[in-house]
Amino acid sequence: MELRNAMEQTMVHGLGIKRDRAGMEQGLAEISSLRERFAGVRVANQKLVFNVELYRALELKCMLDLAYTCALASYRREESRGSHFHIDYPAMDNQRFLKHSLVSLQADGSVVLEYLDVRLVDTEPLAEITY
Amino acid sequence: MKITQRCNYDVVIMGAGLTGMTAAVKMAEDNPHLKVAIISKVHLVRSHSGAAQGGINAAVDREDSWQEHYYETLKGGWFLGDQDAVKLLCEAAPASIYELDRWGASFNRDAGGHYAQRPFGGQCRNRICYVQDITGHALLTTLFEQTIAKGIEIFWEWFVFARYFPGRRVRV
Repeated sequence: MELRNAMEQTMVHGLGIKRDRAGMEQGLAEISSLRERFAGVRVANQKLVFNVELYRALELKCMLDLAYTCALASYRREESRGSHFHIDYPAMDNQRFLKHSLVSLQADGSVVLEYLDVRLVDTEPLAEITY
Repeated sequence: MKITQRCNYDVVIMGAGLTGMTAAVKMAEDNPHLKVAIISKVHLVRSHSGAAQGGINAAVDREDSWQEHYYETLKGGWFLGDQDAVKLLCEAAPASIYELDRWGASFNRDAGGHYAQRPFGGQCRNRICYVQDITGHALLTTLFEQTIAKGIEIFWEWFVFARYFPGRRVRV
């Protein structure tokens, strides 16, 4: 429970809608250390059915991986787009970031980030979005 | 106590929100010879799609067009959407609404009996079809009925934590 609350606080403070480089750096470091601390989590309940304690632990493991994934992809996206509002890079940058972020989890628990181009068919992306 | 059970299915879908159930129903509809199963962490009607209250964008109005819906969806996604996928989605949206309607989803109507429309995020005209403020929940119920009608097997309250592919011979 303590780990889960710490994760929630980190994601809200370091990686809210308005974010900056320093805040995200700190958020990434905090999530990394929470992922390490998870290795020490033990489940006391040994029952094989309706074991809520076990599945809460499994969920937390998945959520920590996802939190790290989001944090990493956001940190590397040096532009602002939609609800990703980067204070240090307030403009949209189609040159570098008209791409999907693809994150894969390696067997050793590390995370690799790659990019995949957006498939364009017939519509030229706007350079900035206004309503 | 040891719990081991071996089951064989042609298609197993993990997760049973509106997307998972639709995938299962369509798979069973198009391939009646396949055995289809859904694994869900909760009762199907309690899936998180139930939290979607707003509605579904679809160009069902006579004066609307899917092309306009397509452009506004790309713009609303800050051009990160794959254009072929967004095009398919917008073009097929009205037919999905008609199908859900025939399955019994009680979409709101205007005084003339047509689908009631209201504005929603990123769109420049009234374009969503909705069921009061419980669109997601209403559609979960509708699709749940269809999973029963199509004979889809459901594993309620199962938690998936590992997938094992012997020899990695997996058809994707």
